[in-house]
Amino acid sequence: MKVSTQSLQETLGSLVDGGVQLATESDVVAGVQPYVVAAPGSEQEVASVLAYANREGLKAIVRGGGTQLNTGLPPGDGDILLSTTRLNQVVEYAPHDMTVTVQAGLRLVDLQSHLARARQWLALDPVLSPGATIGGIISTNVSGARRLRYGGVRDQIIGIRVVLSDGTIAKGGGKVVKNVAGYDLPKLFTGALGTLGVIVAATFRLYPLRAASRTVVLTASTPAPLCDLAVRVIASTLEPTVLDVMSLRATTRPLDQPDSTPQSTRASTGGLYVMTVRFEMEPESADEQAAALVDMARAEAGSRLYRWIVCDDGSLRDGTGIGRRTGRCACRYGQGGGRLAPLQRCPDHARRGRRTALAAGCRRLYACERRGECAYREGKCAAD
Amino acid sequence: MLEPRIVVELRNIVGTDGVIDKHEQLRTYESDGLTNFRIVPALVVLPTSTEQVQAVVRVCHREHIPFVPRGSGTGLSGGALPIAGGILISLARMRQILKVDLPNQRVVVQPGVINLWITQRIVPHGYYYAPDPSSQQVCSIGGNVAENSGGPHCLKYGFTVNHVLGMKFVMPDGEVMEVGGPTFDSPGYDLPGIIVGSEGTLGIATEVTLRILRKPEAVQTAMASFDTTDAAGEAVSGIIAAGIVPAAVEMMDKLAIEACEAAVHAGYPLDVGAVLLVELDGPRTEVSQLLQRVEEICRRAGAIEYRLAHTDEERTLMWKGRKAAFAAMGRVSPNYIVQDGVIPRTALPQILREIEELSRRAGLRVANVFHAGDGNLHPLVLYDQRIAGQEHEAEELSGEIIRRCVAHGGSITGEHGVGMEKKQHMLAMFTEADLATHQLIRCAINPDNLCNPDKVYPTPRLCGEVPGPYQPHPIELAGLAERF
Repeated sequence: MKVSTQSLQETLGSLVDGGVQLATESDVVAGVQPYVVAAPGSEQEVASVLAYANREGLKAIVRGGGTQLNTGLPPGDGDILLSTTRLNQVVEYAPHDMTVTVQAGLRLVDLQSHLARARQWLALDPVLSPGATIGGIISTNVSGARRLRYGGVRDQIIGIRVVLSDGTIAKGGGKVVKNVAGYDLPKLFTGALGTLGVIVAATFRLYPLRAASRTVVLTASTPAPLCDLAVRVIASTLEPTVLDVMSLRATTRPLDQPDSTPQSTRASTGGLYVMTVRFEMEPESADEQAAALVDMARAEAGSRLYRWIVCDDGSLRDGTGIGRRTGRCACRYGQGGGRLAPLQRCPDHARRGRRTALAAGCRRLYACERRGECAYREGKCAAD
Repeated sequence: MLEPRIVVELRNIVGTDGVIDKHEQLRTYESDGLTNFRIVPALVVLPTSTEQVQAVVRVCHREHIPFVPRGSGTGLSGGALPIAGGILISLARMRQILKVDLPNQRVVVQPGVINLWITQRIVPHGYYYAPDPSSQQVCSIGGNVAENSGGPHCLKYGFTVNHVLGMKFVMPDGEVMEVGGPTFDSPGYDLPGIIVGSEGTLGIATEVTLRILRKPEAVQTAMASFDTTDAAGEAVSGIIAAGIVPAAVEMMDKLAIEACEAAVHAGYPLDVGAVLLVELDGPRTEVSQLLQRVEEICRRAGAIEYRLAHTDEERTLMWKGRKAAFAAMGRVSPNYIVQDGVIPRTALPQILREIEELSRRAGLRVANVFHAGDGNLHPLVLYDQRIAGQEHEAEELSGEIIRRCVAHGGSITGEHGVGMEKKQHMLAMFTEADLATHQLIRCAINPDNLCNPDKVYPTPRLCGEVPGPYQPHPIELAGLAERF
């Protein structure tokens, strides 16, 4: 670095009002230790920092909630850690237009509770810790189980404000759901991992919270009957918002912790593979669809299934359960502390070389455990 | 004029019958659906494969000849307007559905395939392709991809971009690239996201992988009529506020209703101020429950009549009127301009009053047809070309409506595109810095600006040109040239 850490801190301090400090060990990003953390309080301050860094040949790493710093290639170098955490405001919420504009550092959980007051939500339910910010979610393109019905980040985002590496502030898209004026910058920045610029604000379309939710959980000792059933469900007129197939190993522990599930837990839940299917709609239809699924399961896979259970899952109703998905259901279903959680997307696991059994996050992408590897292919599961 | 050797080379690529060079035949291609811009291209070529498209584009790139891709030519913003002296590449002969993969809910099609053909092909199996622009009987998937076409049902199901998974794509230098993939969320930049809706300025899609949807258990369409558009707008607000996401909500005002009735006899009432079409789909029980709520909301908003389509035929007829709306204007006016603007839905009553005021002041009639659920307006400005100056007045009025849309926080186009028609309006929505940033994308993919040049963006800079204060050219400094 051409400048000293002290003068860097001073200069940034003059550009960013009250949001600059020396970096510590907790600011390491994938092995790269930045010198200074700058947390701008406005997009103009972001622009000033980046313009300065650009002039001085300094490298900046962008961080939101820091929940997914292991995604993508590690940065080669980094002098300034640019934190978006002070950009955490809801800029404009138009409930009757069902759109919201927020700053990038706003946490998803905070946005969802804000929207839940008007019985609306941003249709993204990634399994991330509560610190996850809107900017980080856009940049890493994470969505959750409900992508089946609502699509991913690209399907919700309608406008974006970004600061380019030279400090240029630019926008793409707009504030209305339907808009084809100009290149679709919001989509280009989705999943770009911060490589094209810093997202400072975004506008999303919203959906109403649904009246009722029913979750059907089915278990089996092998993935095959569940995968067969999943294919049937997709081809039917059932309209689940969630259709996940996973191994129990994935359901009973966070994926980044070693497998310490006691054997007894597996045995008592009745099978090694779990499928969760959720219906979110008017109560009568949700009941009907859940019942139809159970009938289908009996007819199609009967003896190959261990058991099934239908949960009246109220977690969405109060708006707080978003992101936890079937948490409440799993607790009812079985084992005290067991939680039915991080079913993440298989390609991520494959990339990270994790031992993950089975995922159906994509509509038609199933993954199966094979010799400890996450092998996945489309259409149906490989044999156990 | 193109050099004869180039014409010979192109003939060798696409065959003799794949090249059109006679003036009277070329005139067929002089405009798209926006007919007030007309340019006869130097040549039209009609390739039949990705390889042929690639070879043609390579010739254009090598010889520095501008080219414009064209599908069915139904676009309404001049996106497929030829370039003088350039080549028009028509994809109309690439019209095969290459693959239907029902279990994985996707199809692979060539760009010349007509939108409606996809649904026709898969509907016997219980599937359909969701984006349904009014021109779906004739518009091509390639054109839909270029324009990010919508349609009434994009309210619930999204636009073309939400249904494109991947593409085989010929870059402006002739390189063939696969973007996206067969499933969601391909790694890397969302290139399909940036290509869809780029109005043919970034290259030519030669194979498109599209999502198809399972037909819902039930579909129900209702028609409600109101005294005023305000009352109808109130009903729409009520439906949205009730947390209902209809498959479609369409509104027509009095003049539009009259024209549609005259054209297709869809059974709309004639003595009313507005008609709403509301369609719900999903599980049967839910649809019938929510439809009851829709009826209550409409009645509370003062519906004069509320009618449910009881059969598929009745439903089709209700929609037939709406889908024929643009063409129907011919029944009530010799000429008309189709406008396409967007406002936040809640600004609907205000913008309609403004349009009424503008219409009164200009002495020109405006018929309103719109996708009320998402605030996408299609005001049709009626005029008579034979009356001197009226066409110009109509253009002025139509342009003013667009400026008002932007003032309400909306957009200059919801689905028809910027093309040639609205380039000058881009500055109403975007700053110079925004537009310069957008140009970085064009410069990365189409650096020579040969692929559909002069569209979408007002006077794009040369790639690499630094924006900023005027700097004299070296030959100016040397006194060899003068700027004036």
